[in-house]
Order: sequence, then structure tokens, then C-alpha cells
Amino acid sequence: MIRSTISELHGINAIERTATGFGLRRESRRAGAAPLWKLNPLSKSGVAAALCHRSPKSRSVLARERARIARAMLADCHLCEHHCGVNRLAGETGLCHAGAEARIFMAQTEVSDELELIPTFAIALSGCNLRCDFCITGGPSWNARAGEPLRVKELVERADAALASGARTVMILGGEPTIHLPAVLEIVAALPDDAKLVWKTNAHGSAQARELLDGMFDVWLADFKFGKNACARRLAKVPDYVRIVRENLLWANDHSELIVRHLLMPGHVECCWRPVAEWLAAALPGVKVNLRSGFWQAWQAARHAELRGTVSVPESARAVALARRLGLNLVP
Amino acid sequence: MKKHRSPKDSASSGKEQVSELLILPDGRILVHNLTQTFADLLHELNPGDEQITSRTRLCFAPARQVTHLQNHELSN
Repeated sequence: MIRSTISELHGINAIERTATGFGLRRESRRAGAAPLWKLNPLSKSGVAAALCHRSPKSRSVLARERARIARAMLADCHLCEHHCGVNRLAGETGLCHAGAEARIFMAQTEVSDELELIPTFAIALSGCNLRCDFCITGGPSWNARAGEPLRVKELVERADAALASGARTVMILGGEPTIHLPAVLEIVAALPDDAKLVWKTNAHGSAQARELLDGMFDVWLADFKFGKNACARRLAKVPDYVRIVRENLLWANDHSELIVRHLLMPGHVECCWRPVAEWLAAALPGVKVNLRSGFWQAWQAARHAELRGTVSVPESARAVALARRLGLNLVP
Repeated sequence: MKKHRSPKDSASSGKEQVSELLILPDGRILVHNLTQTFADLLHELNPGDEQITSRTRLCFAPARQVTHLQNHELSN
């Protein structure tokens, strides 16, 4: 069934030339006007059944079903908003450069994240669909081939051990985990149904990805990095950033717990934090917001003069004051 | 920037834990990839730091920690 679905997907692909992110112009297959999952019989039936919140099926059963759907969808990848449409099953790669198999560059229990989530067993998958010059894990995040092959059974054994030892959550992150949705769902399928799962994302996923994620994670921990598209384009080489992130956050807030994280960047309080904060106050009142001020110059940040330092104490204080004025629900 | 590597843990997969920190001239310390072991160490150095203290008080037996490589941030 998967095979026939894949050939159907190829049949409906229209080749078109599109300007995409990362400053590149490339051939991209797109599924015309109709969303991919509406043209994909396997995905349509599978997702429709699987996404019903009232389904008696357990999360692990649903995740296993969806993992198959997600893997078939790699034949015409629209997991993120780049909509590259490449056939990752056939070795093609899109802007994230990820193949069909996920790799992992970190899996460890940490206490860095929001207090309500820690200790968390954090699983970081290699590769990302953004190209943030200041990425603190730039090496493995920009290289989908970094790290080790994902071995689900071994990884889940470690997650189980961490949970038994006191970890409160299991967090899946990257890079950006959306680009590895089939593997993510395989991990979810193997985890205990009662484990509290956190989806740490850059909120650049597509509607198709969100449908497959519905009901899989207890908490979405989503970055809202840039308040202006110009900053997103310059620092992360991504177009139309603000609209896409807002769309993802609104969806996430409707479908799960949501914590929005913003990393203050030196020189970006007014252009980035202010519009992010104002939008959150207006569109998602009461949503949990974690404002982080510990930026440091990492990866290729030095390419940008303002990112060669850290956030000053006065800058940080100004950002917090703005959050308080707007009534944001700041969480530690 | 200093990298701190914790000793191998007998219950782990044999991988090391890695934490990173940046000490700024004004005395602020930024931490990335904070593990329980490293949080405990920082707490000993500066018991008055509430951010670290709140992460140290969480009970998580070090001897059974599951470990491995990179990432994550108190900073990001």
C-alpha cells in the first residue's frame, strides 16, 4: 500500500521552479494546489483515523500507524514549510539535507530547560531546516549526517531508565525534529504511553506535519526567535518566518500545552523581542513564555557584528520590563 | 569557554556528559548543556544562584543518570 501511494504521489507532482530559503533557487516538486495529505490515500485514511482525539487507540498504537504514513510521505517531502517536495526515500535531499534515516547527536538527562519540564531526557536529532548563524549546536544542526544512526530500541531503553531514575519528561529536539518525523513517531511508539513528552521545535513545520503530531506530545516547547522577517532572512536564511511561526504556535496552543521560548539576542530587543512579545500578548494571552538571556557567540554568529557579544544586563532588564508591561506569563 | 566532562557513569551507555560554560568579565556565568552533575558543581561554587539552585534541588540520582553528548542550554 505504501508503494502504491508513493507512485501516486509522483503522479500528482508538478515540477515548478520556486525561490526557496537559504538564498537558493532550486527545482522543487510541489503537490499543486491541493495539500499532499489530501492527495495521499494512505495518509488521508490513516491520519483521519489516527487523529481523532476520541480514538480508543493508545498513543503508541497511533504513533506506529502514523510513522508508516510519515515515512511514505518522505517520497514527496512537505514536512516543513520549505515544501521542497524531494523524494528522500530515493536519496534526494531538500534544504535540510536530511536523508530518509535520522541520526542522533545527543541523548542525555538535562536540567537546563523550563523548571516544570526538568529533569528531562533530551534526544537531539541531527539536521535542521533553518540555518541560524548563531546556532549553539551549529555543527550537528547544520549537518544531518552528524552523530550516530538512530537505534530506537536502545534509545528508548535509555529513556526508560532515565524516567525510572526521576526524569520528569522526554524531550525530542534537534536540530529540528520535524524533518525526521517518521523516526520521531517510531520513538513515540516505543515509549511508554504515560511518559510526558515534549516537542522542542522551531515551529516551522507544515500543516501535514502538525496533523501527524496531533496528540503525540503533551507539551510543545516552541521557539519564536525573530520578530521581523528581515532578521530571520539575514540571520537564519529563511523567508516568511513570522507568519509560519505564528501559524504553528496558534495551532499548538489549540492542540496541546504550549511554552514559547525566545532567546534574546544582543541588539535585537526592539526589532525581535518587542514584536514577538506584543503578538504573544495579543494573540496568545496567558501562554507560558520563557525569555532566555544567555546568548553567546556560537557557530557563525561572528558574521554579524551585533552578535559578537552577549546580551547586556540593561538590555535584558529592558526585555523583562517589556514582558511585564504586556502582562506576559513568564516562566523560569 | 570551558568544557566540563564528567567521569563515565557506570549505569550509562559509556558516553561522557559534556557541559559548557562561559564566564563573562562582569562575573555572569552562562551555561549550556547543563547536566545534574554540573548543576551540583555550580551550586557548590555559588549557593546563592537561584537559577542553579532550583535545578539542583530536583532529586535525580547521579549514579543512575543516563548520559551522552552535546547540546542544550540554560543560555538558549
